Parts: sequence; C-alpha cells; structure tokens
Amino acid sequence: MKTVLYIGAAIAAAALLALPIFGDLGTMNLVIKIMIAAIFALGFNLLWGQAGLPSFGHAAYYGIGTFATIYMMNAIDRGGWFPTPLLPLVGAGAGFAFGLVAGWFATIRSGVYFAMITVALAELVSAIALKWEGLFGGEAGIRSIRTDWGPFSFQSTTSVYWLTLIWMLLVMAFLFGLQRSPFGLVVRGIRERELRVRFLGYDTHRVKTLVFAISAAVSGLAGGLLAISDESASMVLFQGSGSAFVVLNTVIGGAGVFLGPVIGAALTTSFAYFGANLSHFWMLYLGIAFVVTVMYAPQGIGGAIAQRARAVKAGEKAAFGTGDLIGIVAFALTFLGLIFLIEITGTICSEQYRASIASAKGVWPPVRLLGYDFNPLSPLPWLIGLLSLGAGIAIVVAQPHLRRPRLLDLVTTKAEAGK
Amino acid sequence: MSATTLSLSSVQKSFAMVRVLEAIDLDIAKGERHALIGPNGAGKSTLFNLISGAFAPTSGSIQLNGASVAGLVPHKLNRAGLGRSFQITHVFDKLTVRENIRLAVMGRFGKRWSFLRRGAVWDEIDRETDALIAGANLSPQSETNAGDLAYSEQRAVEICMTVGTGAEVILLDEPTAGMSREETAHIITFIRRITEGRTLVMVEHDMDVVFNLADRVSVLVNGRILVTGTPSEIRSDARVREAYLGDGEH
Repeated sequence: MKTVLYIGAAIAAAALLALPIFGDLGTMNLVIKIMIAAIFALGFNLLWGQAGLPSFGHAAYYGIGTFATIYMMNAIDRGGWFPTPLLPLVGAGAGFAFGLVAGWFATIRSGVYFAMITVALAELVSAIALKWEGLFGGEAGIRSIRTDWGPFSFQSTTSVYWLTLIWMLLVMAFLFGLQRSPFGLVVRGIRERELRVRFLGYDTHRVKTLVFAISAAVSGLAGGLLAISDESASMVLFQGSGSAFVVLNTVIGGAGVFLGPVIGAALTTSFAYFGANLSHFWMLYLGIAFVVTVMYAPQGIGGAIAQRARAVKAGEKAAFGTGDLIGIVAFALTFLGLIFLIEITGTICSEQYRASIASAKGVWPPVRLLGYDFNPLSPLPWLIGLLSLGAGIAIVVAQPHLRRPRLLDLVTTKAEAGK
Repeated sequence: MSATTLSLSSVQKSFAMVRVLEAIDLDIAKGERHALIGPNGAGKSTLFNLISGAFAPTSGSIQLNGASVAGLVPHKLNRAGLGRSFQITHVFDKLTVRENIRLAVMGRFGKRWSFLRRGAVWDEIDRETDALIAGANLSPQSETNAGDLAYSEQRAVEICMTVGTGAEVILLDEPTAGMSREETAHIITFIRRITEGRTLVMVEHDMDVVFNLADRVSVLVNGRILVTGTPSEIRSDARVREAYLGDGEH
C-alpha cells in the first residue's frame, strides 16, 4: 500500500511540475486556485482535525490576509523594500495577529459555543469591512499590481503558479512537522480530553489560543497568495460562503487525514470551475455531494481511502471489487436521474424560459440537456429522470454493503480496529 | 509522625443551601498512603474534588507543604505538586499508550511549548516514559491506542500519567472501581510500587484494597471525619462498625 502512495505522490508531483510546460492558462489558473483553497483548508483543519475546534468563521482571517497583502503590494509599488516572494508572510502575520485576539476569546469555550463565537467574530469583521469603505474599498474593492523583485519577474501566471506551489509545499511541511512535534501532541491531547491535559499541568487556554492563531496565520497566508494571484481584494471575501466552503472542503476530503482537505479543495474548486459553465445549479449539486459524503463517508473521501487501504492491508477487502463497481453504477444512475429532474425543472421555472414561451406565443421551447433537445411537456425526459433515480436508489437498497453505515456498525468497526 | 505534606483545616463546602462538608481537619504526612472511606453521600468525592482543585472550598484552608492551594486552577495545582486521577477513566483514547504517558512526562520536564525535539532532555523524557510503561507491564502495548486497551490497563495508564507529571502527592479516585479480583490484585501491587516514596490520597470503596494499601484511613460520615487511624484501629472502632462497616458489604 505504501508503494501505491508513493506512486500517487510521484504522479501528482510530476503533474504539478509539468503543468506550466504543457498546461494552458486556464488550467494553470485553476490549479493556482486549488492550491490556495488547499492551504486555506489545511490551516482550517489544524484547528478542527488536530485541536477539535470547529471554526465557522475562518473567512475573516483569509480575507484579512488578502487585504493586508494588497496593502503591502501597494507599498512595494510606491517604492517599499519588501520582497515580493515573501508577500504571503504579510498575510500570515495579519492572520496571526487577529487570530491571537479572536482565538483568545473564542477558545474560552469549546464545542458549539466556540463555533458560535467564531461565527460572531466573522460577522463582526464582515460588517466592519462593509462600513469602512475607505479601508476596504466597498463593493468595488481595492486593486494593486505585482512588482518584480531582483532578477525575478512576477508578471506571468507561470511565475504566480511557481510561487504558490512553493508556498503550498512549505505550508504542508510546516503543518506536518507541527502535527508530529511535542506541541502537536499537546494539541491532540486537548482534542481528546482537555480537562486531563490541564491536570497534567498544561495551560490549555494558552495552547488553544496559539493553535487558533497559527491556523488563522495559515489561512491569512492563503489569502495573501490570493491577493498576489488576483491583484485585488474585496469585502466579498468576508462573506459567510468563504467560511462555509472551507468547512465543505475539509468534510468532503476528510478531517482525519493530513491531505484530506487538499483532496476536498481540489474537488470542489474544480467542480466550481467546470460546473459553473455547465449548469446554473452547480451549487445544488455540490450541496448534494456534501450531504451524500456526510451520510455515507462521514470520515470524508481521504478517510474512506485510508480505511480501505487498511482493510486491503489486513486482507479483508480487495482494492477494488464488484461491490465497488455496483456502487459506482448506482451512484451514476442516481446522479443522472437527479440531473434530468433538476435541470428540466430548473430551466422551465426560470424567468428567461417564461419569456421565451411568451415570445414563441405559448409554445414551450425544447430544453437542451447532455447534447440532446427534450420537450419538457412530453413524459420522456421525466421518465428517464425518475427511472434512473429509482434504479439507482433500488440498487442501494438491495445491496446491504451500500447502505449508509449505522451507528452500531461504526462502533463495532472501531472495536474491531482495536484488536 | 514525619513532616506534614497536605494539611486541611476547618474546610467547609456548601452547594447552594446544602452543607456537604463541615469543619474537616486532616493532616497527611509525607510518604503516607491515606484512604478516605465512608458510606455513599458522606462527602468523600466532594472532599477529593476540593483537594484536587475541581472546586474551591466555601471556607477553610488547604495547604500543600505550607502553601495554600485552595481553589487553584488545575494546571497550577499540578505544578505545585498535586496530581490526580479520575474515577471515570480519563485517558486519551486516540493517542497511543506511549503518547499518553509522554504527554505527562513532557510537562514535568517543562517541555510544554516545544516545537522541536532537540537536546538531551528528550532522551530523559523517553527513558522516563519507557520506565513508566514497563512498570505498568504495558511495554507490548506501548503503540496501541489507549482507547483500545482493557479497562484495568487504562487505569494503569491513567495512574502512570498522574505519576509521570512528577507529582509529590498522588490523588486516586476509586482506582479499582469496576475491576475483577485479579485485576484489583494486580493494580494494588502496581500502585504500591509506583507510589513508593510519594504521598497517596485515595477514595476507595473496596475495603480489602483500603486495608491492604493504606497506612492510615479516615472515615467520613455526614460531611465530618468520624475517625482517623491505622487500618487495624479503624477495623476495631465501634463507631465505624456502626456507621459504616455494619451496614453490609460494599
């Protein structure tokens, strides 16, 4: 299994190195966005996966990092001395400073109360960003430009790509080292049983505050890279969706696996990039994917892969069996059915479609789907949708191994894993 | 009697209007193994929680080596030399046995904020950790997650952690609760060995354990200390028989 991991890592590394040579500008921009989302999610997961503290307001630190970096870029542009490649550190520093203050307040409590405080703080920052137009540039935001540094030019997308890649690797190495350090052990202890850690002589509030600040710093660093890539920042960054997306990435990818958030970031960012062109309803599909992940693989995709890898190693399961094939077929059928129902319903209910009915004097124009025209008044597309969805669900119901894990299964799996 | 380590004088605790403990006076000598016993509702757990800092006394003083420790927050209390274990096992389920115990030992060596493992002190921490694991007969399971151990093994890990912080006074809350005869015998031997040269205060229901392990015993009834004495004194005390031992097996 280790070899598979190494081969996978080698392929990923080769792809990342080869991309600037073979890839087009669009793909390169996509991968830059994926890497930024990955850094953000890794920073978020330090707090959630390692310390067990679910922050639902991390967009604040990401946005603060972006704005701080934009301001520093403008300062460089006016003749400041700061080296452009180190700009993400400005974002990290701003994130750290705000994280220290916010973290001190938020980590006084744990669990839901902690989460509530993080939401409140993020809303506060968002409200301030909206009001202080002079500082945050209002709806239009503020712009800047990348300045070259010494022999290095930062005008091309390729240069931004390399810079982002290097920073992502640095962040990964840093967080991996932190996780394995003695301090990381204290943090995991707090996640397991904070009270016990206190009775072992540790001031857990200070430890949690520092972890929060480091997490905010990594988020701010991601925001800094966004500033470098986009050369702009706006208060949209502070809105709730930013905080939601990083949770989504981490849940889909898996909080319990180090690279899980990276998997999630890659999937949702790609999905947003391609899906937004294909359908108006891509957010709905993403939401469905989130719900399905939480129901069927609460440990996330990364967690499911790790679990399967352990089972394969123990000789309990094949790496890929007929059961998996049936699962994929069931998933494909269900999803195909959903696409038909969602797209046709969504299209005929849209204002634009109503207008075209009116202009065609009451005739319902065909709906184009997967390269074919369907008449929404005929039963055919609806039947395809319902039958496909029904078949997918029927397979899941008929196959015990596809049903979602029950609480009891989760408990027994845990007990068996301990043998 | 040798020097007093832990000293309680006129300690009183009320919850709302209910007075749970009144005027507790207790001196525990250095190196002594002291047991707190008493019928249910006598206030043993409350007294234990007061000593261990879970809450502050309503009035009265608790002194550790002459310095007041009443109402100190847990991490400060631990650094003052008081280590407690919990009645319900409080190990770190998803950390290995070695990680559990290292976390305790690390703090004792002042490595509470270390990002790197640099320097000779880490060899010492590793040695100490291994010695504690070996002492608890847990060497074969040192890389097992603590949550997957048998119950008595978890208790052993728990006690190792309490001792690993270097605490001078060890507080154990029902160390043999829920254990079989064999497990109990094993853990008593372990506790006796590991608390050698330290002061032990424990709450315990099992009379065999108490009479086997303790140098002195205090009997609590209705929030007061009825009598303090050696196990044989307690066994032969008429008041104790009436108040406690007489009312059946525990």
